[in-house]
Amino acid sequence: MAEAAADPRSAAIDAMRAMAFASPEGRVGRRPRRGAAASARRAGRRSRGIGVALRTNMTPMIDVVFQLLVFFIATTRYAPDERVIAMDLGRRAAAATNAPEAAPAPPPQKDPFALDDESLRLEVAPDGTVKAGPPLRRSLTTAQLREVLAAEIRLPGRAGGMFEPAFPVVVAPADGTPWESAVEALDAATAAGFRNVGFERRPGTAEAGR
Amino acid sequence: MRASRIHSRGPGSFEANMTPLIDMAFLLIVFFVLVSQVASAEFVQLELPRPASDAAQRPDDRQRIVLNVVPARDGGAAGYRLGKREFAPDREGLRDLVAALARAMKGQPGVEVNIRADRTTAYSWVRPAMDAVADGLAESGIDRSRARVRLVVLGGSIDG
Repeated sequence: MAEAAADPRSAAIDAMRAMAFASPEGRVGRRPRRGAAASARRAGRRSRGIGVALRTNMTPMIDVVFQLLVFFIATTRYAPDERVIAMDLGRRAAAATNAPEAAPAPPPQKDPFALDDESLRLEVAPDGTVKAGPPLRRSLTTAQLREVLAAEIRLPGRAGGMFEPAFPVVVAPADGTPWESAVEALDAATAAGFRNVGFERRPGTAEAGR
Repeated sequence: MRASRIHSRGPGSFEANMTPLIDMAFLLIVFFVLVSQVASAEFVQLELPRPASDAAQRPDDRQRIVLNVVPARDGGAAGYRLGKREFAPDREGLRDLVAALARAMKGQPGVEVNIRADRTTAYSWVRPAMDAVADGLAESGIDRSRARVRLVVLGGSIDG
């Protein structure tokens, strides 16, 4: 009789305990009386398991997670300060196809001193020296090229200068020229203020290398 | 045995809430996994040229195609790399490269093509990459004047 009376009571207490585990505060209600706990223990294993919380050992997982974290932090390569130089591909293509619709557009305002030459050709040798084509007709180092181009461009608010900023500049590096020297010549023209700067495109050079 | 007067049931245990820590650790892992994948697809180990002027611009966040000239010894090139695909530096490889570029550029006329090459690579190995970009543009039917081709260099002057 006493056993039968204790059973529903202990079940209620166990349910309360389960709620206590589920609630963030930890405990709800009052602690069960000692006698009630004893009777719950007596009630058997069946009701005992209800209030037991499932606990996973987190330590190995956190270990692995941190190992992975350290690995990825250590192996990630960050991009250095990369910049881009705009290149005029239209001119390269136009020079190759010679199509009438792809012909270079004339400068916007016609100048009595405008040059007849279609473009300024900069031939870069493998040792880095630059041979500027007509109308400059000079052999220059890269530093000199920067100075000459900066002096010869006709910018608003500055007298003198041979070239409009829209005047096309074609860089024509020789085959063995390191990419650095080729980019240096292109950069010299871009830095001076030229807007149409590109590499020369030679037709019939599909093969890579020499 | 009585451990404490205050806590009659034994010593008080210290428990830290691990959940935010694990949350953050997982977030960081996911971030680094993604970043390292993007980086491996885009960056080939090469030494970019560093022009003496500051005229080069910072890249914008536009969508771009990155074409790498994979360096080899003595100024040669081992191949061309577009995304994760690598192309041999011969006639067939270049034809495949043009086709792949045209496929990548199709449907996005304002796309930007970035060309990366090692500073020691000979121009004769970089030129086919630029020609391939021009041919790819022609094949995909994109107006050349709208195409933006950029050469990737290192920023700042030599002392900077």
